[in-house]
Amino acid sequence: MSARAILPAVLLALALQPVPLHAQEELFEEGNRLYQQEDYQGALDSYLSIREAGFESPDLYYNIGNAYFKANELGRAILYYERARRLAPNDADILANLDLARALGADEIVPLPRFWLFRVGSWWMNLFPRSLLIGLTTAGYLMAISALVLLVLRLGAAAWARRAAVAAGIVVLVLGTTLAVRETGLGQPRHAVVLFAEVGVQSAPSDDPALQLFVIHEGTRVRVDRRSEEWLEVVLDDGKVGWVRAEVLEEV
Amino acid sequence: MLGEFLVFAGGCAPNEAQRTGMHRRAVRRWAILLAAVVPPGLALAAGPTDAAAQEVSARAYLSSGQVGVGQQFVVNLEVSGAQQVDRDPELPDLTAFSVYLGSGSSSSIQMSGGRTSITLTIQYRFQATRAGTFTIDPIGVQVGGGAFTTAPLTLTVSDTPVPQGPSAGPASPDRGIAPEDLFVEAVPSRLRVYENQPVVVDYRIFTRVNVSSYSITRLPPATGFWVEEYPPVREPVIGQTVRDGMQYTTATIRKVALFPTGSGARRLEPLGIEAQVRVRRRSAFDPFEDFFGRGSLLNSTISTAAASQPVEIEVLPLPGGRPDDFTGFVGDLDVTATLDRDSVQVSDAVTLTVVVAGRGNLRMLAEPEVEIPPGFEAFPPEVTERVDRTDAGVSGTRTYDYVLVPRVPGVGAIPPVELTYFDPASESYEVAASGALAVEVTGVAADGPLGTGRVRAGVEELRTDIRFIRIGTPALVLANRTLFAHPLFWVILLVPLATVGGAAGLRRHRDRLHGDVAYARSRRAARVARKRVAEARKLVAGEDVRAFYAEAGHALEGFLADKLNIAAAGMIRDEVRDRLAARGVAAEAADPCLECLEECDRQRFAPPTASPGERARFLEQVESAMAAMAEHLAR
Repeated sequence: MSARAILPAVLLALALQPVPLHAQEELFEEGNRLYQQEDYQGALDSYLSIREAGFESPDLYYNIGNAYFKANELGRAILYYERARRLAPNDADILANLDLARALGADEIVPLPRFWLFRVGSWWMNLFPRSLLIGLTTAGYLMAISALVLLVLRLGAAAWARRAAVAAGIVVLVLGTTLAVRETGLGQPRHAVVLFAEVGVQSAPSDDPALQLFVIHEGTRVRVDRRSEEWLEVVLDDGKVGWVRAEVLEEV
Repeated sequence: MLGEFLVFAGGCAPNEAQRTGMHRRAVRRWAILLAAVVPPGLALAAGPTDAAAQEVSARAYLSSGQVGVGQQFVVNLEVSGAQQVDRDPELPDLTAFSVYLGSGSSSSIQMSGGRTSITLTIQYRFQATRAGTFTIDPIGVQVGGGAFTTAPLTLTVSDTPVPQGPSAGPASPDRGIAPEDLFVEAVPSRLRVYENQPVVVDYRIFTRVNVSSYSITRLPPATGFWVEEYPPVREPVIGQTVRDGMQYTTATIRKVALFPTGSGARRLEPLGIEAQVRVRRRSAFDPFEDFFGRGSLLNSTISTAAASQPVEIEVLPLPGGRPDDFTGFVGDLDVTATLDRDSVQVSDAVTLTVVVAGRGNLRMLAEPEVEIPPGFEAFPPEVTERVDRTDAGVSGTRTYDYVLVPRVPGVGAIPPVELTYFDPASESYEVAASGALAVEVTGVAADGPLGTGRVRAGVEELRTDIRFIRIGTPALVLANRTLFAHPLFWVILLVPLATVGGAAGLRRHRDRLHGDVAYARSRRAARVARKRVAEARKLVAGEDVRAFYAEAGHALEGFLADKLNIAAAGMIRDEVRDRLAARGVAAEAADPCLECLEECDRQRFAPPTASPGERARFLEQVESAMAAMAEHLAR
């Protein structure tokens, strides 16, 4: 059954793989060329058309962030750096530019200290880039299955096969859970970046100026907790909570 | 009721607080004195409501319309109907012919027939410096919410002193000090100098009266000069000088060296002082005077002001033909350079001392250019400076200590250090040069950068910028698609699972083959039967008909025995039928097999008549019977 079943499945998968990648890569190179000629708006047009075609990559988001930064749009630059960081959490270039862009923002927010278990958790969640995590999980899974098949058919040394199966199984369990949590976005906060120069945060979803609590500025990252029609409840890194209109933010 | 008294208010100077400080002290003394005399009730009677009824007016007058050069004159500004002015009045510019000395103010309240009149008088004291007839422009004053302008005044200043009566002004009831009794003189060392050549100006006080103390009220601005001030003298050296047949006591009160920064005519502005002079009170009746003479109790101190005459100094430009490396120094210069030793080991320090000594403005002299020989590392020099101020001018030395560290062996030669300057005595440009120096370096070359004189330092960040974009091919994937939406994910997940399932099935089959004889025989039955049928097929066209039927019968018997797990030898037809029925095989399915068996038995013992065509047909019947049987048994 096996050989005859795998082949069509692989062919199907290859057929479903997006083909027009070549055109998108040319757009990317065009954007890079315009960026180096300091035509940042043109570079942005090229990059964003790749995004509109439905593709993403940490490098693409990083370059978009750079172009917005050079075009003096701090809020969008930070938004795209955050998006790049979501895909590649520990990329040094992304983190460096994000730090620099944040330092230019008007709001200096001192984050609340978090419970150490959560810190460890988020450190673990962001430890591997997505592709590496997928690769490791797949390799572990295939290894566990191979060891299992050897065990069942009593081929080779059973002791080694058993050890390999247990080790690979643990790897698959841990990494697979991590991957599943990351893919589903389960329990992970949704963040958004302020795109307007100055935004008043209200104590309730209302435009009443008497209800204004504080003011946040372009480029500040907030956590989005709740939604009420056109209003979002946001939480700042230092724990301040309030409501803003949905259109002043864009989710990472 | 009629009463008149004066109340002295605090001093009021338009600009400089320092100038009025002393005057304010003097006025306060008067105010305390009067406050003790005036009954409090009277002071209270002068209410502001009464004053408001009075009409406000302002006028200006001179205490005397005629003064001599060097004498004082007082401009009085009298404001009626107010106790204070809203803003300091704006004085016209009188610097063309006078020096400002100071100001004071007094106010008086007069009550007459139930009417109260208030008068505020501000006095500005000047010293006349030039002869001629001058117009003092109107003074603007803001008082009581309105603005007033006084009439212009005319002042005549004559070359000869004008005797001033005791009624010089209400503020100084005592007789003033005559200008020839106390004056200040500015004595420059020379009147024609080159640019940057110092002029030592000596401000001396000449007095014939008993001066108890003095203070400088007006420091002349040193426009166009670099000023090197001599340290102030605590105890002035008192000298005796005879001038115009009169003996004066003299003392230097200030001494400066002035270095003109450009050529042209320069004017030294006057220096103003205020001196406290002890005088005897000229009273009509002073019974103590005869007894105690100068030490009389009624001796008093009055303050008087004086100012020096302006001095013109001509500054000559430096002559042409100035060398390219001219330092700008004017005076006299001498340069020496020494090394603290002649030979040195590699990496040991040697000190080069360059001493620049001379007369002139050493402070403005730039650091001399010292050529460091290659192979030496040099550190920025330590500079020490000593400046002597003498009557002849300003002189001093500047010492530069360079620490040199040789890095390679050899002989390091230091060329002469040269400074070009202008000597006003010989009126020519001169070069001061030190001797050439050499130091022998022994040892082996040290590691590190050679002869560059560089000093290691951290990498300095000139500006911060974002890091550059990514250039390579981006690993593009479809956005917003989780792994679970990817077909390859399911392929990779499920295919291995199916493989495991297949492996498990294979394992179970093998296990049954090993452990279950019936299963093994049943699985083997078709294969064995096919082999026997193939054997029989070889005999279809042969001569031995009996052998063919024996082989076909064996195939069928073996097949049934294997399937039913019974012994093939001695197989009884009824037993076969019963077992097949027990396995749920219907009679119509079992019959073809049994018929074939009977046919085999019959043909084995009957005459061999069956043609090859019959035999081939029979073999097909056997095969289809076995296939049908296998199908029924598998159900």
